[in-house]
Amino acid sequence: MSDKHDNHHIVPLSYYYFTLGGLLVLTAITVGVSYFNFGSMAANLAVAMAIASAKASLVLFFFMGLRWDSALNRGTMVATIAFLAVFFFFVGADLGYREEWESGTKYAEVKSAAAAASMAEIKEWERPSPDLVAKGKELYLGAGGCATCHGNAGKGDGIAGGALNPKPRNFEDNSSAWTNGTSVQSIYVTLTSGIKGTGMAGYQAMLSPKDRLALTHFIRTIIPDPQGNGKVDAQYASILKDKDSIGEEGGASSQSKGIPIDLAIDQMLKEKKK
Amino acid sequence: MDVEADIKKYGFPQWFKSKEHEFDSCKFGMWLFLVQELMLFGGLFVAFAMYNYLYPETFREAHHHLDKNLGALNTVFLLISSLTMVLGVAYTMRNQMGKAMLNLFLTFLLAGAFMVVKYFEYSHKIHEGLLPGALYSFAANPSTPENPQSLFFSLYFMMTGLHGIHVVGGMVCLLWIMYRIKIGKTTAERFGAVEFVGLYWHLVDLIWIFLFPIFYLVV
Repeated sequence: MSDKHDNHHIVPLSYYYFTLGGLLVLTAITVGVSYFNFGSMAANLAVAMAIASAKASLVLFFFMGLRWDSALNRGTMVATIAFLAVFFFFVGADLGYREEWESGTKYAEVKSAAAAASMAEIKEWERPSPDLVAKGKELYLGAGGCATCHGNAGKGDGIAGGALNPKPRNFEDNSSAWTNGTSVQSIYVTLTSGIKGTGMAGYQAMLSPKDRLALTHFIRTIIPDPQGNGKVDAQYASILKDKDSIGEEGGASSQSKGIPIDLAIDQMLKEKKK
Repeated sequence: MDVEADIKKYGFPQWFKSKEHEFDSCKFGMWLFLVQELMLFGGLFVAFAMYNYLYPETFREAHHHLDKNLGALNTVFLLISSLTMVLGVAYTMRNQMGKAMLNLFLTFLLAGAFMVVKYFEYSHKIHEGLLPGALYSFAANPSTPENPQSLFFSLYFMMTGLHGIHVVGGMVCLLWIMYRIKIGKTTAERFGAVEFVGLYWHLVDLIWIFLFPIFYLVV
């Protein structure tokens, strides 16, 4: 129909009429399909974009003449689509892997919550209250919580603790000296930084300061005659000074998920190596 | 370097090797401009995708203020205008200038119709207070940091507004092309101008093909 050097390829007009027909049909389809829910916004969006891409292809190939045009112009368009895909991909990957908040969570909410907690609030939480103790109990007994190693009643007889050496602390046992002590500050430091050489990990990254203090108060309800003054006031003070630990929403997850399984396994493997 | 003299004498400006060389170069230049426009709108589309992902409920609520039927009507206007545009180019190439002018004029009218519908859509939103950013004043659904309604409308006005400016620009180009044909500067022998304005016009249509579903249809 056209030889290589003829740029002025005369396209039969029927191509153009059929292209418009196709475009109008696809428009009707995309409007019609928008009344159906394919399960999620992502699915609905995918369907709409697929139809839009089909329409765009018709415009590009027939109205804009890429069907009959040089490879240079076609290649320019393909390269541009590729660059747009890169743009979308990396932004999408970033958003998708942000663990600080789930989609739908409001950024402003998270930010203001982080700014809300102050030293005054933490001083508040140092005093045991029924609410804090109840919250601590909930965390202790929750999925993947402390009970897995320390037992439901805090006797150190939890299932996951069986392989650990030294065994998990029996909170009812005051006969041997506790490594850090039994004061509020002592237990908070233990929860935050763990105890070296044992299976007790530090949970600073997993639990917010308030959650750790709630657990502290609950555990102290199990300890017979817990001491008021511990050996770790200095450590406690320095932990609280650490900016990262300040704030209601601490660490990688906005909700405490308890002790991650892989962390427990890590500890058990470390113990086995000894 | 007298372009007019060159064209009269040789058929094309002499800094090109041949007429084909001139046409190919100009067409490639136009394609480069078009893909740049795509990247411009592409950035805005990424912004929309990002905020839609972060605030799905907000966007779901806000999009109900848009009239699906007006959006569909505008889509049909632009699609038909793309046909009349390419027919305008085709008839120019075939040296049927009467039909060419008619189709270019129809393209112009359809673009105008698009802008009229846009005018009604925008004035309704302005009246309701559904405006970008700090201008948002729709009392029945206030914009808060947790439910940033104004964010949706910022994106709506920015993206459809920028597109609307491109439509108006295209209308000006159409007038220019019709003038060129009338005074005999654009002919069956030298029709680059109308072909390239045509390419621009199809791009404007292409962008709307994506704007329409994301704002009016997807929930």
